[in-house]
Amino acid sequence: MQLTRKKFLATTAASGAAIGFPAIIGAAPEPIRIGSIPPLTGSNALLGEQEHDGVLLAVEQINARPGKVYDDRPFVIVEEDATNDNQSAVSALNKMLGENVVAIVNPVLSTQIQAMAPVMKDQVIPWMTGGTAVKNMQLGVPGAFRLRASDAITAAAITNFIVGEKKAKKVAILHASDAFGTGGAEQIVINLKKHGLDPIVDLQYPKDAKDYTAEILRIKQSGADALAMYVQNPSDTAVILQQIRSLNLTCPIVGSPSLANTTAIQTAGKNANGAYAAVDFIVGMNSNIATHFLTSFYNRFHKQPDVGSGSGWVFDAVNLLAYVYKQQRSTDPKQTIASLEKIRNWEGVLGAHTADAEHNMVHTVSIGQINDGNFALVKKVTG
Amino acid sequence: MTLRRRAGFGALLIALLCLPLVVHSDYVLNVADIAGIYAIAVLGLGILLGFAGQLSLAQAAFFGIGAYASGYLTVHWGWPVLPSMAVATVFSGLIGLGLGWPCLRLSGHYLALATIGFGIITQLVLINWTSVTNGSDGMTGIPPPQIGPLTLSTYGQYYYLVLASLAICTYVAWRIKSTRPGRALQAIRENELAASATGIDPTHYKIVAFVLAGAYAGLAGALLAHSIKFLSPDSYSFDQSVIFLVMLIVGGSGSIGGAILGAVLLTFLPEVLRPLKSSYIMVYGAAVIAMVIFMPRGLAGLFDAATQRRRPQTTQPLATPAHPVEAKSA
Amino acid sequence: MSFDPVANLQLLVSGLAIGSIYALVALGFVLIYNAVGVVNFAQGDFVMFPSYVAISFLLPSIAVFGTIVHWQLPLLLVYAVVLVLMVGFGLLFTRVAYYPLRDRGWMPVVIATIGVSIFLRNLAQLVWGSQPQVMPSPFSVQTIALGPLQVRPQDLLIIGVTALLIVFQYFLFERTMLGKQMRATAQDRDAARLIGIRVGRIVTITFVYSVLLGTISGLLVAPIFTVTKEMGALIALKAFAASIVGGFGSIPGAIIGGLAIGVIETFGGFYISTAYVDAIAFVILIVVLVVRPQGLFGERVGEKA
Repeated sequence: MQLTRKKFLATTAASGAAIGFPAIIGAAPEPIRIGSIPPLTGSNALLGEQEHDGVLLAVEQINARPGKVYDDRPFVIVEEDATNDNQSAVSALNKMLGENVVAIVNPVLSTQIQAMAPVMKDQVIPWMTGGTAVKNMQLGVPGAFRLRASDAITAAAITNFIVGEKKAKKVAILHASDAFGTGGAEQIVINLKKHGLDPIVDLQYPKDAKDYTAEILRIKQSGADALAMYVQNPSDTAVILQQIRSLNLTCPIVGSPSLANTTAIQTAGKNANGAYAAVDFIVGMNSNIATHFLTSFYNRFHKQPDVGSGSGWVFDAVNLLAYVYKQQRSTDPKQTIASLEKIRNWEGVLGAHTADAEHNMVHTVSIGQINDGNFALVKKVTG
Repeated sequence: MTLRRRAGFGALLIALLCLPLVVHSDYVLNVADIAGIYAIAVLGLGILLGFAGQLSLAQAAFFGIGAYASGYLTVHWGWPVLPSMAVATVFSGLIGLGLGWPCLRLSGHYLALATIGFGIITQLVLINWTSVTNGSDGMTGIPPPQIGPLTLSTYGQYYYLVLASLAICTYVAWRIKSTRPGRALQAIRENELAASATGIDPTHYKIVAFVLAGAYAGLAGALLAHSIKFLSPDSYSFDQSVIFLVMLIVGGSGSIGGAILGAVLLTFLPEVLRPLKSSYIMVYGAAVIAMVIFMPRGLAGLFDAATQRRRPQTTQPLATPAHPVEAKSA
Repeated sequence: MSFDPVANLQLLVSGLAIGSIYALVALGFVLIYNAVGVVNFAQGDFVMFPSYVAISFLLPSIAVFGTIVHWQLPLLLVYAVVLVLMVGFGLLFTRVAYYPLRDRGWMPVVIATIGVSIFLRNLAQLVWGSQPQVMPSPFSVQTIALGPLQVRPQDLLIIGVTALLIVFQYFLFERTMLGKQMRATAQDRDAARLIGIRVGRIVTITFVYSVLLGTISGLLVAPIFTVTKEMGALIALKAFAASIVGGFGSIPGAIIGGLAIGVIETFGGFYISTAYVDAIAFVILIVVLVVRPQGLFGERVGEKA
């Protein structure tokens, strides 16, 4: 074949393109690896499932938009199972730290966070946590951030509502024996003291208790005019509410965020009517972002999200990271931590996020009331 | 011991000593530390169950007692770590005495249930005695051990502490097994009535076994506490005692090597199975059933069979010792 | 605290209800123990698993293996279906966990039942997910007022069904040939074999009957507990404790022990401390074991071959 000029140019162009094309575009955009350590097995598997789903939804949505995170770089989830054992959670963390992640989302369990803290102390990497125990952010971990309202804020809201709005003087407390329950109850006692009050009765039930007759009768007997509940487990919540109704305890009930969990409300059914809860999220607040989250979650997973403690905050965590990465056009951990510290009024599912000195992001809590399966806003509280 | 076996052990020892030098992954070293710690606890159970035939499901309770004792001494009283661990070990052993003594007349299911009850009560105390344990909130700020100017702050450094402890515990167990007390324990396991007829005082030996099991588990708990530097009561449940039991059975009850092997294997197994995500624990449960059915002598028994040693068997097939009377009244 | 008769009656009713569940599960333990000398650590999961199966057919929609199914069937039919399925399950369990190990004494079988328990719990999570489920109550009202007392109808049902089962148990063992064969096998297997009883068959029947007792407990208790994979765990341990307090190996002992523990626990929670409620059962247990190991109703001395 004769090498015509045209053919020569065409061949050169083609070869040049073949060689140069990758160089022009660059290699395929490097994925951004974020780690997630939910408790996928063990007694907190329900929470773990929600967190897994929340992270997945956020990543899928971000990867579907033009530009993805930035410069067409997608998120890649690196997930490990925290189980419900402290040392297994720490092993999961160590495994993850060897897998080149630029940020870690989870856990939400405060005991796991505290177990992981000694390891994370030596890491300069953004760590988006959801645990509400006040101590979590006081452990000297430079990259740790909290994306939910702490127990201090929630308990203050509950107490102020009970004493302020409901004018109660004899407040009973019922809580689970786990870290969440005890920590929350402690905060309520602290806040009651600020009003010059002590709880009329402070009851703790053991982890697997199934019958609450004794507790409820004690509360009745004490003449309490309000009940503060700090119960994390939705099935416990459902049984407690049912027995409260059947034993005819009529004082107002104000509970921790888990009382308003979709699962808890659904499982408790009619028995939840009239109960109040302090939550970091309410339907109707922040309409666009929240509604979009609720709808897309339902469409994707065919079930309602547990917004507060489960899927909502991780969704915010991933989106906040994406926001920061896009702004700085980099995933450098140190820079990211500095940027996160400067966040002011970033809107997420859980409302406005502003970083304070202890790296807490969410400061607003609302009191809502359950009626016929719906949870409606009663009062907004800023902590 | 034959020259071949000595060489084998020597090679193993050298390999173990060199592990942190060769492996740099924090993750692997972390898991190795935990495996060694569990091996100590399982070895303790092996003395009580494997040698003496007493089914105790309270090992997790001592694991917790040792952990919190050492944690408390170092955090609240500012003691240095290594002496705290030693005291915690002794303390757990004494609690083991406290459990063993009332249980002397019990055997079989009764003993098992009493130990289960003890375990549950212990966990409740850990949860509720908040002034000492800080309850469910957990105990933070537990310091790492210091040897002279060196702080054992990395998993690799801690590994040597665990290895040294395990070596001592193994040696003690081996000495017991190959001398008179060991044979006495095994005689008691096989047939307590007959053993006492030959002049062995079962009470004395059973108490010793309970004390050792408690002490070993306490030491293991203390070691774990100063590695993770955080404690919470939910780790010390009945389920954890079951895990120790399963490790012993899989490894080969009655065998020292078996106890260690079972612990190491079943610590690494869930890590290896991590990719299976939620299904791994079902695989675990099914594997337990399969092993009990098909490998009655545990892994150590398999090893024995494979090397076709003509020495007397070190492991017992997992079967119930014959007790003439299930429950004894006073 | 002043003595409030209404409150105490309330506590009694709740205590008897939860005690009945303990009694039924304890009965299941004792039957298996008497027959083959083994304690079945999976007994609690025999309460949990059929509950899950039942709700799969009772709820208008439920996720099974991740996909939503709508298999809703009428209540009584579901009860029947579940009982039949669990008979099959009992046969499978006997074949897998007991049969291969039957000559090796109790310890291997105990470990195998522990394995079954772990397996079942996680199978439940795999199939139905971690969401706690609500089993619809057979009643349309939440409480019934008996004078000043507010009682859950389900509690009354539990107590009633348990009473019926106890009567049934008595007739079975005292008045039927099958019952007598079961008792003979439990007493001395070799002797039973010698007089022509088909021991293998009787053992299998005993296991299946125990599974059914667990199933009935599950169907009774699920509407008030919510169905989770952990629901059987603590019930089983307490039932085990109850059977020892009552006298291990004794059927009336298991029942009385279960009821007693339920009532004492409930009153103890009210008068002493709600936090240590679980400890109450086990402290009683340890005291009984140390002071009177044969329990309230003594036990048969003698080891099975």
